[in-house]
Amino acid sequence: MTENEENPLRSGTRLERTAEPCVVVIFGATGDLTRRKLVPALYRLARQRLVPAEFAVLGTSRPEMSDEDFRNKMREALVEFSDEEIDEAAWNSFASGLFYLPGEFDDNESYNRIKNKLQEIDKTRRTQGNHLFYLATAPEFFGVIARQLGSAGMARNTPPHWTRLIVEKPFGHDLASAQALNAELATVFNENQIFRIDHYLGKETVQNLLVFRFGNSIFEPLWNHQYVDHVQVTNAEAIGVEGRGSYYEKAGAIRDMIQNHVFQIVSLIAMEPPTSLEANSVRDEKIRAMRTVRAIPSDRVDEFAVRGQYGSGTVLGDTVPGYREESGVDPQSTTETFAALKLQFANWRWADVPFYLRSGKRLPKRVTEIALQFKKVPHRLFTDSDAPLQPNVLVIRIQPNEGITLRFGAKLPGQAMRIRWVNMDFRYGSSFGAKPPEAYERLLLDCMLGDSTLYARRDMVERGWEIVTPILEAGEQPAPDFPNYAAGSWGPQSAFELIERDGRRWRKL
Amino acid sequence: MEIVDQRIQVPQSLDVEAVERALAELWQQTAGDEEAEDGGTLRARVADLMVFVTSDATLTETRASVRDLALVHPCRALVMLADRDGESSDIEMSVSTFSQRQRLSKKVQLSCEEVTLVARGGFTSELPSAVIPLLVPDLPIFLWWRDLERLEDQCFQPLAHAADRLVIDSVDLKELGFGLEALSQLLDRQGREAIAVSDINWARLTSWRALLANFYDVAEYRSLLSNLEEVRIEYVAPEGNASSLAPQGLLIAGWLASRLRWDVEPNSAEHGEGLAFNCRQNGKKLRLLLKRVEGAEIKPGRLSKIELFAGGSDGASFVVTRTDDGLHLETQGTIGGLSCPGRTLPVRNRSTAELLAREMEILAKDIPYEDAVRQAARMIDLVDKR
Repeated sequence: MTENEENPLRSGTRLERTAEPCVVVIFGATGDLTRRKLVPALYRLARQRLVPAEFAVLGTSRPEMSDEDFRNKMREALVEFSDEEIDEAAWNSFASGLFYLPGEFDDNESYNRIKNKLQEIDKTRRTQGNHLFYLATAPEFFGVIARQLGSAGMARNTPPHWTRLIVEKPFGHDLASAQALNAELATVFNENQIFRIDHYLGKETVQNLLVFRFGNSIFEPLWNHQYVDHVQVTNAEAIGVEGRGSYYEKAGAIRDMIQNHVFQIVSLIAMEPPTSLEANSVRDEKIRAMRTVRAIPSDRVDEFAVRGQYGSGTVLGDTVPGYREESGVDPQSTTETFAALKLQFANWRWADVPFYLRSGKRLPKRVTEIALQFKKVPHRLFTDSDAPLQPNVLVIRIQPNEGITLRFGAKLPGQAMRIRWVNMDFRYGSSFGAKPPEAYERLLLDCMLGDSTLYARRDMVERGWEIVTPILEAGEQPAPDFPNYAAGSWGPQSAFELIERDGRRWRKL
Repeated sequence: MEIVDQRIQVPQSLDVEAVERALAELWQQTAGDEEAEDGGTLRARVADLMVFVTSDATLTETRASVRDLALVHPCRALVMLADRDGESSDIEMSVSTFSQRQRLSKKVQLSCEEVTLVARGGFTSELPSAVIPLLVPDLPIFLWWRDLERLEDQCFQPLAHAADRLVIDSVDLKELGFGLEALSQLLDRQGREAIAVSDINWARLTSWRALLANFYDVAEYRSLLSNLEEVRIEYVAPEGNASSLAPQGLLIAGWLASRLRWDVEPNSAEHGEGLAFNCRQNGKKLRLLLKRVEGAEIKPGRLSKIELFAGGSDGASFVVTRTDDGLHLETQGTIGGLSCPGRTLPVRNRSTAELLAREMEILAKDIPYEDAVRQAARMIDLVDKR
């Protein structure tokens, strides 16, 4: 048996896939993301045997700290952010593979130390020279870290050893900065080494979109302009900026949600069937669909997009301050906390089928869903019915209460021909009791396995920015009349007008 | 979570409509006080589960497992008690629903419906004809057969024929030679008689198999599998039979032998330190030893240790050990005298219901399991012949 042969103990089994030996190097190891998401996800993967014994984590950041201090901090984080009880023996086993190196992101010497440490870990923990660099830092460090990794000779992929890079959002601030960052990363890493994380893609229900569309034969024939009247995507949050005011000031709803998460969902709805589930096969179809989105004319942005900002109001029974009163926010801020868009696709499948998207903070409740509203029946047969005929609606709920609902008409029992609209529900929680993995667990494991299907590719990121550029440019002048919606409402009046002028309405959620 | 358990007797036996009406009535009672915002109680079912038991004690235990199973797989459970030695009495039916109500929201989340059928004496043979019409159409059908010594029972054939997958627990095998041979024959059935099998005892071995597979996933270590010289499998004696082999030990031996293509030499089974077999792998000799050990904190019939020793220039070993408290598995490897990273992982100690739930996630044949059973049957046959 040679190294190149398949492991006979693995072949044919339904054992879960396991990552290859590797070291995960986290830049920004003392930050919130590492504590809240990354280390808990890696610990859970280790506990579920999804990473091998030949695995280690090397954290790096500015503060001075020993390996032991780092392990203690990560353990505290696990206690704070994980709802599971910690198994001490399993934690100690995992923690023996946690290491820390203090360093500045722009200091050559730091990278020499990282390189030496990686060589040492590869030897002692037999991690086979496979390295995954995770940029969990502020975005201004992405470029410099990549450059330094390149200069130190740590970015090279030399098979059979691999080197990969995970980049957190935000990926750029606009099209030009995203292109510049992509270009900078590309001078050091090949595109197949770069994994741009979008945690929405790690959600089970988002992944189920592929199964729902392409694993069932009854929906796909209806999935086009002949049957679908329009599509609504809603991404609503009841919370405000939650202490992240200074970050959000530079972002806003379009940069923070629409350009990345919402467009990823839209691409999965709009795409043609891929030829396989191979990463680039799926991503090729997604970008192909998004390339057909009609450009928003810069002189008619108001017809296609609405920006909003919440004032004070009541959400879920609590009186809350307006955005401009939040900590870290400019009292004259023009950052949008709500955006609604109308997208049109110039392709055969979606001709004349508008996609209405809305995303915002401090809306009445937390809900993310996709609704396909079908065309009405061509002829009204039930003229005696007291209720107007409603269109069928297919709703794919992403959060909370993940599931799928189909609305159709049924005869109300009795002598008269009355129609009532009923929902046929499928809910994940009701049909499958198994708890889905956290998005970060899935995405980290995928990256360690080299599967980039659920990561954003360069062209998709840039296309997202291209689509929203006219809205971002128009938003800067003249100064918007903010705040224009009360916290706890479904956004500004202009958002209702955006859809109603087409003779349609937002769904009541 | 609070489990809501409602149960009523069905007034007329062997009447499908009466059963459906009784279930509908129970569901209505459950849903009656629900707020309608999210549509109230859902009657979700993802599978049909037929369960066959032969004693009142097993019936009680099984009903508890079915209730736990509802946490993961809402299903229609058709639980049959065939008391062959009891005084003859016609089939009696009762129906139950299990729902979980969240403590805070009081929302009913997930549900399962169960029909229990009890037949005694000569009426037991009528059970399949009473149960099969109660299956919900278009759902995968599982048959959990809890009397492994009686695969020839007259109820087995019609129920197995109706099912998509048979679920057994080989930990219950008392006569290993006879049982594994019968199981092996069942797996060899072809065409319309073919049935996929899940073994809960095999599911208990998942962690062991995964850790062994994990170790040799590392390309650098893989060649060691070609140079194995000795494999030792240690187990705790099965319940009620201190001198018997544990099915888990034989299954894992059968799995290694079939995956690694060992030829077990005829007449090679020897009793000594344990039960030893001489094998050949690509012409090279290999000794397989199954050894019974004491383990106060380890459940009867469970594995306690697996060691693989490879020869060659450097010599190497890989060991998986259940800790003395029975709560963790530890791995340790050495190659050429140098240690490989080890690790400690919690043993999940899943309940029967949890293991059953995982088995209900698959419908395809489990080829490595089937190969392991066939190999184990051949090995036990060698022992019986000596």
